Amino acid sequence: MVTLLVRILWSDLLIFFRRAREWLYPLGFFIIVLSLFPLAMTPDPFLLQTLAPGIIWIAALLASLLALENIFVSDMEAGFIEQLLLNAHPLSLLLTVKIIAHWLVAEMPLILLMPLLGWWFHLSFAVSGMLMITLLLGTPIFSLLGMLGVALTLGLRSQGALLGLLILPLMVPVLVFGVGTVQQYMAGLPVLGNVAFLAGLLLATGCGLPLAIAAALRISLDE
Amino acid sequence: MLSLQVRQLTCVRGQKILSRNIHFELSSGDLLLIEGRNGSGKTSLLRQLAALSTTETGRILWRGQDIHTCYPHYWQHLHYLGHSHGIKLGLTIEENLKLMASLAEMPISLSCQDAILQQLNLHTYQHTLAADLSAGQKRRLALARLWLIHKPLWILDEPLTALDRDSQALFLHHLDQHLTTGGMCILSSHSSLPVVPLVILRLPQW
Repeated sequence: MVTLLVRILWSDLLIFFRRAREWLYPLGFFIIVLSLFPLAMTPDPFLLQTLAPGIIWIAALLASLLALENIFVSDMEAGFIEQLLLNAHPLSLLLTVKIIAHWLVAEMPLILLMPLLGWWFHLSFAVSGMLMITLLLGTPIFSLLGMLGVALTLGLRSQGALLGLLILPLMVPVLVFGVGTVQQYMAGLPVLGNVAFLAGLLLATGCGLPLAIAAALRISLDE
Repeated sequence: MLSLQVRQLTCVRGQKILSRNIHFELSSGDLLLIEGRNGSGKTSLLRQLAALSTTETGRILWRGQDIHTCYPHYWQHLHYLGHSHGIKLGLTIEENLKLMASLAEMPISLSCQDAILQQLNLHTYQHTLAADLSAGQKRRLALARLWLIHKPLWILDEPLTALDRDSQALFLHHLDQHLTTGGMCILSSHSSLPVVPLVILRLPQW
């Protein structure tokens, strides 16, 4: 069982790295969106500092939305997904591994970029660190919710737009708590409760959503 | 003794009922050929038999047990090969076979793998990405899965498409071997099969 999970993780990572667009496009998109704000608004360091948490979170949210469409592409193109379904192992577990692979490829680079972006937006090192922590807890939830949306809309035309309509509202609480935590931290307020809440949200979605994703996938492929 | 019983199955595609009261029984060594014109519901029936789509009326029993109560057990014994190849295009042939083996939790011995790939003329492509293979070669890779990972029940949808004459003969040889060693197979095909199928199911035309 463990060898199978490792094999699936490894295969997915291998495919993602062979197709650089899967991780390079969201990353490039993220950086470009972020660079638009100082250009379009004002390069005033104080204003950028106050806006930075919100801007970075929204850009991360949009970048993860962009990356979602690829999540099942490598499985759908030659019908491998049927082999995943027709399997003695619990599908939700296999899908959890796929979500981890996707998160490592599509979201992890954004988080690793955070110290650089913090410098860009005149944030202190500690605030960048807090941004990293909240994103580390928040972006896996984006991946989980996104995968649910993808599983529900699999095989539909103009999947992208519907996907946004479907899952963006669900991502709002994560956004609110993520940005709120960083802002409170900047104002010198205690944030442990908020961080714990985000972690709890991640645990709850991480336990529950793979089951829902597996069910949605079976329904989507039941023609 | 293995057995697959299908009782009163209704074949449905979308909202449309294609055929009613499909009834058959297979045991070890049986081959069922499903015939019918385009659109008669062969693929829909095969997907139902593989439990990829839900069965609304009728029952499918594997070793006397309704498959609804034991999907994982049923799938463990089942090879399904649909219109698509069931491989990952971003992986090489070797990586594909390794992934399939771990999905089935049945390790493939290297000597077996070499022998089968040699038979299929794929041995020089072991490290080639599946995406770079021709349609026939992808099909042969999909078939290699059937022969390297032994499972008693094969459900194959048009397995001969895109295969050249030699590969078709090879497929029939392996099918014969599968049946004589106690396996069973359900397949749909438009080309006539030189092996005499024991049972033929003709779907009515709509």
